[in-house]
Amino acid sequence: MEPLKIEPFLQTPEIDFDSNTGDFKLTGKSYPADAIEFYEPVIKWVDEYVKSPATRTQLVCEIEYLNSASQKQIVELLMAFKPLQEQDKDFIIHWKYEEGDDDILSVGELIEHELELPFSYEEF
Amino acid sequence: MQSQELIEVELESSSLKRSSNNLFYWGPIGHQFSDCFLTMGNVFLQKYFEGESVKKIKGIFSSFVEMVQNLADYNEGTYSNGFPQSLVSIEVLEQEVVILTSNMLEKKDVADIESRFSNLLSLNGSELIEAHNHAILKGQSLGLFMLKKMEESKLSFEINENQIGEFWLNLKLKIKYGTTKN
Repeated sequence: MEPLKIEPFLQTPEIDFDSNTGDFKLTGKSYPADAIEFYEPVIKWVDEYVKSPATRTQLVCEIEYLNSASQKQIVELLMAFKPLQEQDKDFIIHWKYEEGDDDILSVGELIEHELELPFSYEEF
Repeated sequence: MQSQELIEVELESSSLKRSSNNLFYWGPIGHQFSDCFLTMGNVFLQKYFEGESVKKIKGIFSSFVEMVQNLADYNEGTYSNGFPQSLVSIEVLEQEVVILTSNMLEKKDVADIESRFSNLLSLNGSELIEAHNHAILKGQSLGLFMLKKMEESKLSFEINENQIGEFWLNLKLKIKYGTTKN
């Protein structure tokens, strides 16, 4: 399937999902008023991807800021990758957060714990 | 000046005002406007908080985002033929940031909103963390829990009925910070 690439804009992050290599990046700030409108097509894309994924999938989330609406959508987005785990595919989420940003770190930890997804953490 | 006084002063027309330490808007607020206004707010705040911790800077902006978007969400979900005038103000004072929002409520929503805020303000530390985490995964009002969790801050609300029977929700968040450079 075609890779998914969305350029960052004022309140929305960059999405760079390569279905061929399995290298996925979600980078920047996310605080749109209507987060569902932004994330819904991304989630649908992932729903299709997991039906025929690359050999290895790694999602790098390097998020500077998340509003409450985006936090909920990020949960939905990461849930969409869950089939990879259930299929025993090689999959990991690299959760990067700005030095001192406990809030972004804690969102990642909560998702890791509640959704039981594989995470690694890196401070930048 | 309190929100109710500001509303009465500004009743005549929409206005967007910016001074060295205050960004203020009175007018219709929906999602489209809130996106633009938050971009302005981001630029406005950046100049004040050089040297503050990442956590503090992001916390102030985060609170501003949640309050403005909370108001916009209510208007978008309630009014289908144009949004009523609403108020948003962010002011940087000596070691304190004050964020005010005021918006008109439908009478039918007053009891529920009053209950929601009263419950929010009654939560203790551990209850708040639990409610916040639950809201990320499943529940509602995540933005409000984020506001309440803000360190060194005080959130207050009031719902007033004016002389023509309109109900107004006034929210105020005061956030302390350390040092500033103007």
